[in-house]
Amino acid sequence: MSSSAGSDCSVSILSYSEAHDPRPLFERPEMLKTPAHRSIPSAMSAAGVSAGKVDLVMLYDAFTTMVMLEVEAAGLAERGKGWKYAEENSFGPESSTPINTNGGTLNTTQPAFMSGGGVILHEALEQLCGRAGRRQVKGAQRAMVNAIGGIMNHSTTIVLGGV
Amino acid sequence: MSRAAGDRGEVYGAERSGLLPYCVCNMCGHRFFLPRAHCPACLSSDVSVTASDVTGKLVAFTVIRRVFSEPVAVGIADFGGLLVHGNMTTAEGLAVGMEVRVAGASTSGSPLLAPAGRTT
Ligand SMILES: [Zn+2]
Repeated sequence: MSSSAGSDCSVSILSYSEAHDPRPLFERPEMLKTPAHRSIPSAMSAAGVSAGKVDLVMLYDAFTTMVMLEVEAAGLAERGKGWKYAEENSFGPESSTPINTNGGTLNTTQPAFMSGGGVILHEALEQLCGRAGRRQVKGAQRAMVNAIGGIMNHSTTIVLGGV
Repeated sequence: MSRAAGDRGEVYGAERSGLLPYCVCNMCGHRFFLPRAHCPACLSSDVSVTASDVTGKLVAFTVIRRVFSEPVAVGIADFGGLLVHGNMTTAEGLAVGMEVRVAGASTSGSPLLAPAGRTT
């Protein structure tokens, strides 16, 4: 945290959406179509934004493939092409769509029970409060945060706005 | 063999004799592999478990390579619409569309799937 840590900062939830599919992956006719493909577009449209238009995207990343599926669910890449998006675009704070600017949980050893809130959501709050230091996305006003549960069984999306 | 769902523990274990255990919905006929108290298609709780000697087709597989251990393959097979995941008995010579059969149970409880000898 930077020197402004401890000062007041308010962030509002602009929209919220969740989706669930209890089936195991191998029983789904389309394995690449996950609950995130419902919750992310639904939260984005409720907030009136698109993934390319938010200042920060924070994606739950227990495994690398989850990030690819969520990038596709967010409409940043077409289905099955998330890997190509990652090859051709920077995820860094200076990029047009910064993703997991703190390296996500793949960078912090996936801490049990703290991954979603402690790593993914926390970074969004730090960024919107301007406290991300060298990782700071300049002028960050809106962030999309997505969480995955089970083995791609549950997905929860919020769009946050700095005040 | 067909039993009430309460006896599924006995039937799930049939892999050891080369049979595929699965659930059948008595209301809509839907068949599914992982045991559940309710049919995922119609939500009926009238579910039986059974096992049969069948062959399926390999629809997807991946080979996992780690240091200090032999490569391991996991796959998904389609037994006439009944989708099953399992550990493959071999990581070599696998191909999508290949016929597979149940050849025992892995230590994790998943069935072991073996190439049945013919590709289609
Ligand atoms: Zn049914």
